[in-house]
Amino acid sequence: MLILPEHRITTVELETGKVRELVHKLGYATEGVIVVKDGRPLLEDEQLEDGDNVTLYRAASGG
Amino acid sequence: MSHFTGRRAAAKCSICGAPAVARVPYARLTLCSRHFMEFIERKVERVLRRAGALRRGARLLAAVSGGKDSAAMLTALARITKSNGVEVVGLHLVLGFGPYSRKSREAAEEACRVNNIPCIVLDLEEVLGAPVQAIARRARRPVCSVCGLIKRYVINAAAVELGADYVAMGHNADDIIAYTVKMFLNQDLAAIAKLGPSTESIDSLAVARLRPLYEVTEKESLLYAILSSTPFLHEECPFRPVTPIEERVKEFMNRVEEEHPGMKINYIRRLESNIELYKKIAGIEDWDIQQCQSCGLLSAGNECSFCRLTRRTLGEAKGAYIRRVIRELAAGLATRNS
Repeated sequence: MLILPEHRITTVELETGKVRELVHKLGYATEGVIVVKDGRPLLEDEQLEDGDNVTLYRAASGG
Repeated sequence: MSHFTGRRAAAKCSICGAPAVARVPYARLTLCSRHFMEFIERKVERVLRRAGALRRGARLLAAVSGGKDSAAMLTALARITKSNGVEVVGLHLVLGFGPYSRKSREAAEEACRVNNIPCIVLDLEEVLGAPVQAIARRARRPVCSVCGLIKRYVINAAAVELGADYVAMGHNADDIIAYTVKMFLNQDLAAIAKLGPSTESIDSLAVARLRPLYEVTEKESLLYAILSSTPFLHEECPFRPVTPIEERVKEFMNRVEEEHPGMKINYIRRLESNIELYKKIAGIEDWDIQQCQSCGLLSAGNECSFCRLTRRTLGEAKGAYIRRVIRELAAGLATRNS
């Protein structure tokens, strides 16, 4: 996965596979980020699949 | 008997049933792209309407940094003002921060272009004869503080010269919360008085400010910019401090919001209704409004802070010169439009 704006690439192992778990594992609140997969913003309770490649935008930066 | 597959059906929009892209827990809504954008535009329209800015012939100068907030603001403004006869003009200031500034300018011009909004670009290094960070160094002040002072001055000067009725700034709800919490922590309650959704104009000295994204959270602003395909630059300014207090406040508020949805929107709405109270605390009616003797714009003393800064660091007060440069740019814009 890719984290913006710092352009950090990382891999995260998840238990439930929910977007919310991914966000929390990276130390963010769901209220502060947007996770996008194939150009579509995901909801917090959506399920990710093994090998999914997503982009996480930190909202509190730039702009 | 139904078969449990372990996967839930994709969430649907609460309004039309289309696939959802956003949850808005404080409003108990799940929205598709179209209805999320309309939800945000209603918030923006409310701010404009309450400030009296949605009237035929009004001219709005939008400060465009090239980031997500100005991108979201521009697109929302373009869509809302289309049917109201309000004119929107963009203004981008080139700060001279190397590749970051070059990319910001490209994004700002592109965001204006896709929205069919004319964009005035002013290169600060060119007009001041020194980059912002060099002026800060000479003034022995932090870059952010000097950059903020210069931007505030030039944006207001541009609005006066362009005959704008309002300046639209891209501050979102999280920005406003972070600024006002910081002001509260510093017990600078008077400063909070200036952070309502709009301020008043002072004839030929200062143009009213509008904050169209006042009730739009940072996440909503980013999502709106993404969904509307408005070009924006998602990068940190190279001069940003490692962790500004404002960012700590935002992180804290986002954790609270996740556990208690509605905290941020309640804060912002109560702040809005308490602004008159803060104005009383600040004694705004008793403020001495003066005109800068060098440039003729609003000042708290004989000379405004921008003219004092440039006199001290560049050898001469630059306010009057900046106003002239903007007048020429504005004349160019008028010719292009005619």
